[in-house]
Amino acid sequence: MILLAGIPSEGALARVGEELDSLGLPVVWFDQRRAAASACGFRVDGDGLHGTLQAGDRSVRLEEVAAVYWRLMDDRLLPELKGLPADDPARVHCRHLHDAFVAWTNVTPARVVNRAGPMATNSSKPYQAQLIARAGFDVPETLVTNDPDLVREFVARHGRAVYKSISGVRSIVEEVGAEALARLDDIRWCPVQFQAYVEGVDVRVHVVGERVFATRVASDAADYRYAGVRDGVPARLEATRLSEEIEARCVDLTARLGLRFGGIDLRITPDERVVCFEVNPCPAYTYYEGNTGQPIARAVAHHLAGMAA
Amino acid sequence: MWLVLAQDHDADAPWIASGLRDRDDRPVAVVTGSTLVHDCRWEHRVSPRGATAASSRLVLGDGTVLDATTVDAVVNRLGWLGAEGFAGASARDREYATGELFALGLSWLESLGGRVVNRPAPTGLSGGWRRTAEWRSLARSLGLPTLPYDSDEPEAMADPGDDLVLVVDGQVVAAVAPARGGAPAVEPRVAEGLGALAGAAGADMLEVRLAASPDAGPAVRWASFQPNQRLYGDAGLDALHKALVARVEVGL
Repeated sequence: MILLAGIPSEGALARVGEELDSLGLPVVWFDQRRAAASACGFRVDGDGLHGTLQAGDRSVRLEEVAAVYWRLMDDRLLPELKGLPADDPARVHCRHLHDAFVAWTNVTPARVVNRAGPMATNSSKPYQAQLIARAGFDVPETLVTNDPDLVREFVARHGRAVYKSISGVRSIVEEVGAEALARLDDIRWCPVQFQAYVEGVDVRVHVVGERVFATRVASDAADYRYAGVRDGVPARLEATRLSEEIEARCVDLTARLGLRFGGIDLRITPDERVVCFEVNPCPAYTYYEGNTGQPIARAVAHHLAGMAA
Repeated sequence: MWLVLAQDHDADAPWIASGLRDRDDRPVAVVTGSTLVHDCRWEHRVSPRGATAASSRLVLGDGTVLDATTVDAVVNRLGWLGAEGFAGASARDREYATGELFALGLSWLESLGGRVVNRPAPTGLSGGWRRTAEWRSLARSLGLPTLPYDSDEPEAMADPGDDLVLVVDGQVVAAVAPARGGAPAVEPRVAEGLGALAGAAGADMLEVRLAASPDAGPAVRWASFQPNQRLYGDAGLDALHKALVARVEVGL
């Protein structure tokens, strides 16, 4: 049995559900929005790991779950809990439910896409960059500081630089311009991450087990994800192939990070250097799949089912 | 310099520093999370390529410089870096800043490499934080006796009757029975398993809490990357000092 957890209408989860249905595989959904009607409990004892997930009106023996694909939203922000105080029984139940579920995903022998521990490497971009560099990729030259003078030196040396969050919190990558330099003293309160601007073409690589899907992105925006909204010219996406050596390095990097499914952000420079920005451990791949037709959801479904591609 | 990193109000940190000063002439600095957040000039760099891609230079308010030339080895008892001190900020901004500070602390500690006892992990600055279920599953997979786990059980539940065992660099170096007093014996088979547990958890230094199991002797309850160091007295300090010296000798 394959367990899908999150909001069933969410694109990435829904697409994998469709593919699993088309394969005729048994699927059970843990719908976060039905938390009030759900429960999760398990034991680890002399008989091993065993327990039950009550997912809405369906009860599942956890030891029968062979694979899990989970994309849980922050349960504190579920619409069903809006306005409820922290000690409201519904909120307490929901927290306990999610905590038990995540704890189970960390100890179950099932195939989990992805486990929480490995996903956490993305909680620090410069930390993950060190792991990426060890896997043989170039990474952007980076300075994290709360000293404005160091930033001015860095920007002067590189000509163009960008700034972004240090943590895994999604932030819009911005180029350091006059407006940012004018309020640079604000960084004394809390260090900020700056990176040398890297010229080149973006390539998003989705790795599913050993399968590789590369998407070339044409855009002039510093952050192509927001190109349409901010610059009025949406990015153009097309499927592409990387060299066997780079594809193998992407597979190796994903495995080194302990991930079964990852989204790797590369930029190919004019002199053919391959620079890796980060690895997203919970990629929202449908944007790329929808624009290129690459069968990413099907690959995830096959991986969950333990099927060769 | 020996660098002792600790959360604010960690009473073991100054005790460790004092014990290290007694053991050699090297200077010892205790630096707390608050100092790193509020009284530190940060310069943390990641270079474009190479296995040792990161470097750091921190200058504290008192002029102390922390970098690869001044820090010989680190006793790392930091669990997190937080923005609680930004009292004037909104809760949302504090939450964002906490994530940023944790991310920076993680990358900085990683850049210090093997000179750090304990090395950081993405789920904890002094080692990968685990739920009770995970500690017991890991211990069980290594053949150690463990308490049964139930997901209704509160996290990190302790019992005053537990024995505490300190593992440093894979060896059991001390054990205490706070309730009964004295130093309980740890069977060689269990000691070997506890060393393996620390290794599997990526811990250079680990405190394991053993509960009395009615039928099978001591059983793993859970473990911590921040030992109650004072409980182990000179035996614990000697082992910690030896671990620090070893890191200098191998040139990490």
